[in-house]
Amino acid sequence: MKHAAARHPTRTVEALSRRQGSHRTVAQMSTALLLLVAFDVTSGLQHLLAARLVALVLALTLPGATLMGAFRVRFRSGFVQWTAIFGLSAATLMAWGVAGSMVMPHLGVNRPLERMPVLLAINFVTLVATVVAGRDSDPVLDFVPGCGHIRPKHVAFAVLCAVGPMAALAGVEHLNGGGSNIGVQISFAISALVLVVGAWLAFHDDMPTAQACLFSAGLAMVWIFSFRGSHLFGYDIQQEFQRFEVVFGAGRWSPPTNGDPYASMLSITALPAMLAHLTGISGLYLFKGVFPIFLAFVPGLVVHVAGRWSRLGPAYLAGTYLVVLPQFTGQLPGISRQEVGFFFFGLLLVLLVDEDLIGATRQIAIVIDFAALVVSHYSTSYVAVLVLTLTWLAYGAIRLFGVMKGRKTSQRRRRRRFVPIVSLVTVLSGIGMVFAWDVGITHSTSNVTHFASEVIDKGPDFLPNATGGNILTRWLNGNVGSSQTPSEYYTTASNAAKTQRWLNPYPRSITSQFPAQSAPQSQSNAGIDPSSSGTITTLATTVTEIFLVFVVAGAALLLVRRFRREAPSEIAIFGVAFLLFVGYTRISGSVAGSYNIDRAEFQSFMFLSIGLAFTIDFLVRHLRWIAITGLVVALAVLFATNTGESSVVSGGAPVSLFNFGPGYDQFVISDEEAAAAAWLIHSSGSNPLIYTDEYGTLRIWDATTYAAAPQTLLTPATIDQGSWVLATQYNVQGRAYGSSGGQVSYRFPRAFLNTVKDVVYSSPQSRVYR
Amino acid sequence: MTAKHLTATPDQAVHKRSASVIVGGLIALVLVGAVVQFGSSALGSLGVLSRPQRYIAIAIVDPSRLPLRIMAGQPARITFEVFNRMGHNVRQPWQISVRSGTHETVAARGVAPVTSDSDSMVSVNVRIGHSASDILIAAPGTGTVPLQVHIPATTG
Repeated sequence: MKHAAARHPTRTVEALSRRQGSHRTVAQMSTALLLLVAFDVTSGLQHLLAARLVALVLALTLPGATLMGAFRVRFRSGFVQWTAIFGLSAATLMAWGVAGSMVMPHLGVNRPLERMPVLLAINFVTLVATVVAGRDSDPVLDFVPGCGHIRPKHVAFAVLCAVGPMAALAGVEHLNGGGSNIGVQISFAISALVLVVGAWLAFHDDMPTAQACLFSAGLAMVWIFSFRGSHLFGYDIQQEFQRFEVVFGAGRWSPPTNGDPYASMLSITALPAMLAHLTGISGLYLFKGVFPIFLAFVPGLVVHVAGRWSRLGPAYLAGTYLVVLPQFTGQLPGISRQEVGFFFFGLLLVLLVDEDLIGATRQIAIVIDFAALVVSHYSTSYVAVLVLTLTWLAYGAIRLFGVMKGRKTSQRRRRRRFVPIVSLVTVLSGIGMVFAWDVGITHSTSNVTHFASEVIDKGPDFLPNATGGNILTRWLNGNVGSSQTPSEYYTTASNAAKTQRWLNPYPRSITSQFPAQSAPQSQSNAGIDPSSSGTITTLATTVTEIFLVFVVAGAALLLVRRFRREAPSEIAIFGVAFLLFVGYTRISGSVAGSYNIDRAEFQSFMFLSIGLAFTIDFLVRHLRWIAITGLVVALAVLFATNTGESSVVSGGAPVSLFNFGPGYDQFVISDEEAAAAAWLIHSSGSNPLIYTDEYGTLRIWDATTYAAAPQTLLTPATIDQGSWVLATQYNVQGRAYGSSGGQVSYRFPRAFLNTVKDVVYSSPQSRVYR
Repeated sequence: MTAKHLTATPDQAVHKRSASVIVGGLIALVLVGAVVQFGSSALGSLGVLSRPQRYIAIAIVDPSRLPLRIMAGQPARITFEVFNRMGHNVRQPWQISVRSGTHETVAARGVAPVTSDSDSMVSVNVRIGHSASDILIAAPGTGTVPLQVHIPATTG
């Protein structure tokens, strides 16, 4: 060998070079391979919580990180890079969820979403991506964002950001166990502090750190709600969890045969099922803990989008506005599918507006993200497709008009390659994937058909509740559900029951002895002047409407070239399309019946934050500290209202702080209630006729796989003689909630039920009547 | 703020910092997992880890098959279950009463031993009088309201 080398020196250099190259390649792959081994090992140690957590984090980062390496994409913002890694990992898992479920059973693997098949799939994807990326770079260390020189202030900042969510978990668990709300209050205080620190950093142009502040504060606030109670918190999430349990039990995802939209969404079925099998973490904690992480990324992404054409400080305040919106903590923790949907929509906006992600890489990334969005949540993807299509058509028409007018373009412009934000490929791929998934594969178009039938039956149904009052009141109340008195509810329930021809009611001679009564008062936050509650609510509503004006003003500023600065007119059109959409949802009863107004607003504000940042920037430039102070005070009012902290001065019993009050009654499910519901479904045979009130339904969905909706017209005249009745904790205490043409709280008809039915199950906090 | 395609491999210092972020994150996760799993009793006593609810429940067995008629003066079999969710074994007293108008008489009573997180079935014969209107099954000291079965028709 030595002699051969001496004879052929050039060959020796090549061999050495090859050997050095192979050493370098192995070294570059070593981090990914080590992490893959760690993932495989921890996935097998499911009896250790630490191993479960490590496996979960690696499952949601390693595939994405190595794929980013293979595609050689790195964002300058470390926050966006982590978000993209997280999203690509989730998208990869969902891709296996559908591909594995479709293909593997034909190859003899009937449960492809269980641990071993998913583990092999992740190993395969990670290894291939590592090998592809490893030729030139380390697929993990080159593409996972680290940080600059680590200084004490970085450590202090990391601790501050970590302490908020940890304090939230400790505080809410203390409250769940019957303790005081001091832990939750401390957590809210830390979140507020983190938001202020983030604002300071943003006004000093530290983008990723400011985004991390929003993530930390957002996650802490959402976790306080999602971890409330020992069961799932919220309404829709109960049905989502039922669909997850079916897929988890089956070990594979199948397109629903009945077009069930919930069962069609991979975000709440295949994704958590695979994570639960891979890590051993229960579905309950995945829904409570992991889905809010998707949502917590959203404000940071919005800052990235808004900061593309604004200064970072105003962009940060626009992102903060999303965090303090009531739907962020009040609704989204209970709608897991939309947490994932908004995450992918936020990432889509980033991919659309990011300036240096160009060419085929950009388009592929957009299509992958759009695909993940379509399989994650139908309504979010419908809105995205609708607005993108409108933007493309409008901007195309404007450009065509400009060409037909023969407008001269400058030589500089002509040389510059035109890259539209919304391309035809993006629009067509979006439309194609929505059709393929919702119509071709899952047949889950009930949302669209419901909207279409509403429009055909009622037309746009402008401001359905706009009667009386001044024009402002009519605007504010025009599309919001009304409330009823107990007597009105009994009447509307009785009228509604007339269409139930199968109903065998009790004789009127009996039911007439039990008229409607008001609900007994829940425990209250004593010592507070009740009149202050209305003042705080009015203040919060006013602030929200002022911000809406800012958003509209910002969209208008975008249309004016002088204010738009370098932002293209396509962005202005995009904004106007969203503004039209959000305006229509605000006034149309038909839309309100198909897509929740608050969530439609949230989705629109994710993009319109560009306009909001423009307005804030304008105000800050012209009014300086007056504007900043006013904005901080306005955001603080919304923060206090939506976290429940305002109850300190306004009374009330927000569910985030108290173990009583309407929110607690409705959404915090006790073990006893769940056990009663499970016993009821187990004991009532096939096709039982079950009655409970509006929120008793959640106890049944939470504790069982009973997917049908129980009868909720729980009044003496509308209860069937042969039915079962589930009484919840607050029912036992005398309160019941209903909804039939309006929201109502009324006295639970206990005296009537004790007269006509048997008590067949009893625990201190629940009851079943037969 | 924006994205770029890599054209060069970052230096080793950057690799070290990225590795330190990854290793630091994983160590933090392991610590959190270990503390929550092995320190659950300490966390519970500090009140930062809520515990399952503790309670006793009672239920009629197979309530769909409650008798439509009970013959007065004849023994009627009453079967019910006691669910123990107290976290320890209990000896749960029970009592069956028969109500006639406003008057209640105890027809049977006993104690059901129930192991932790399980249930125990109790089955007894009671005689129902002519004027009886309800059978009440109670688990005293548990905070539950008695089970209540209306006697639909009493014939001699």
